[in-house]
Amino acid sequence: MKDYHSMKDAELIGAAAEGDETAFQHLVKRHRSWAFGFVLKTVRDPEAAGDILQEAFVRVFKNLAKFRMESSFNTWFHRILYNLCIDYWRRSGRRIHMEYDDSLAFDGKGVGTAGGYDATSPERNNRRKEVVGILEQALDSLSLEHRTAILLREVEGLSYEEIADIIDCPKGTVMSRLHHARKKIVSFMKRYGYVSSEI
Amino acid sequence: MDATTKTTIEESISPWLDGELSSGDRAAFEAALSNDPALSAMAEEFKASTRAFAVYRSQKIEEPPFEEFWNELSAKLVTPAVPQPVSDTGSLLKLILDARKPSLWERLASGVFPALVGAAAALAVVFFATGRASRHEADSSVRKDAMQETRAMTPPLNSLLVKHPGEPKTTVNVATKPEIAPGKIIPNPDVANIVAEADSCIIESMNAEDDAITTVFKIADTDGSMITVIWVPIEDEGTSI
Repeated sequence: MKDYHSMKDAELIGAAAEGDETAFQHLVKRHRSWAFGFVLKTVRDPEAAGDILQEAFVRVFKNLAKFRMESSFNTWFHRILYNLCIDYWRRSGRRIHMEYDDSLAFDGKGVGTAGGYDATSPERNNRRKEVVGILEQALDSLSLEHRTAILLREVEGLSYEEIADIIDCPKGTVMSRLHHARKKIVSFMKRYGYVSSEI
Repeated sequence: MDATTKTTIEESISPWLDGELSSGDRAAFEAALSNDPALSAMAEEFKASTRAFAVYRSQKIEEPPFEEFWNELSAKLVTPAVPQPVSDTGSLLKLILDARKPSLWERLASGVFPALVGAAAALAVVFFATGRASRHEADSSVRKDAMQETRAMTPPLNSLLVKHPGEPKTTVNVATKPEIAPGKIIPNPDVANIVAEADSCIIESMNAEDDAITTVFKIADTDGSMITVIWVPIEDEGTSI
């Protein structure tokens, strides 16, 4: 009996391409959670994220035979997800117009400092939620290109080379997009009073 | 420092934070950093945004249960041309993958192997007669013999036949192309020309292996009994059809 858990992605893909349904199921199980997280953060709509993820795995399935074993499934799958997110944004004509949310404004209590307060306190949890809320609004204010670049780096932890491969552009463009994305995020956080030293 | 140079240096903050600078570039950037308070302040702000993302990453995300997700996905993996339910002897995945290949019926229809089709038809008549006799005698041992005889006469096909366990089946080779749609009742099928009293046939299941496709279907006889027919490919000098 095959030990699917110990099989590498390329091995699972090879087996799936040969008709091993269980291998494909394991591949889906292995990559579903992070992929859902990435898509959800990108499109910010759980239903759309679910649909995109389903379509992404269908595309993987249909192209099992085309996968180059020497390449990374992670990068390949990210590229599929990225393209589907782009399609979704274009198809839905999604435009996010941000409005200032007073409830998120910094009240001067030292949000998210590196130390000095109880890490498990309700106050800290609330602050963390606020930071997440502001970050989500900041991300919504970015163009899709800047948004995906920063998510691929900060959330997915990919290298510049991998990001360049996924979004199909030079590394210099990745560097530039990340710079502008971070600048805008910092600007957004400052607007809410979350000065950088207080995070 | 002109604006272009300033922008270029500022754009090095991200690769510096992300560990994407070469050792030489990193040393040069850190030298600039120590001499430029504005650049240093911007770098600190970028670090802060990275710390905020650490909080963002740690957020738990609700996702549907895997079974639910997989069931929905499995349904999408079945293309319209692929029959359901799948035979218990075959893999759904295999069927779908094989469905991309030209079907047996298409290849038969192309006339590439007309002689084999004719031979199959002749076999069908012979085997049906054997199978029908077995059925009327209602003797499972006779049916078993008929099946064994069929197997003996068509040795290249046995590997497919034995993959259909269950009730004893009368095995008949017919040349007529059945519809590829399990569960579908076909009135007055071509196979009825061979089985004079049959008025319909039901595709029961399909199985695919390598380039070959086996179809199991049933012929409803007028006396209410069913004859199970297993459509099998015939090999010709190593080529499966």
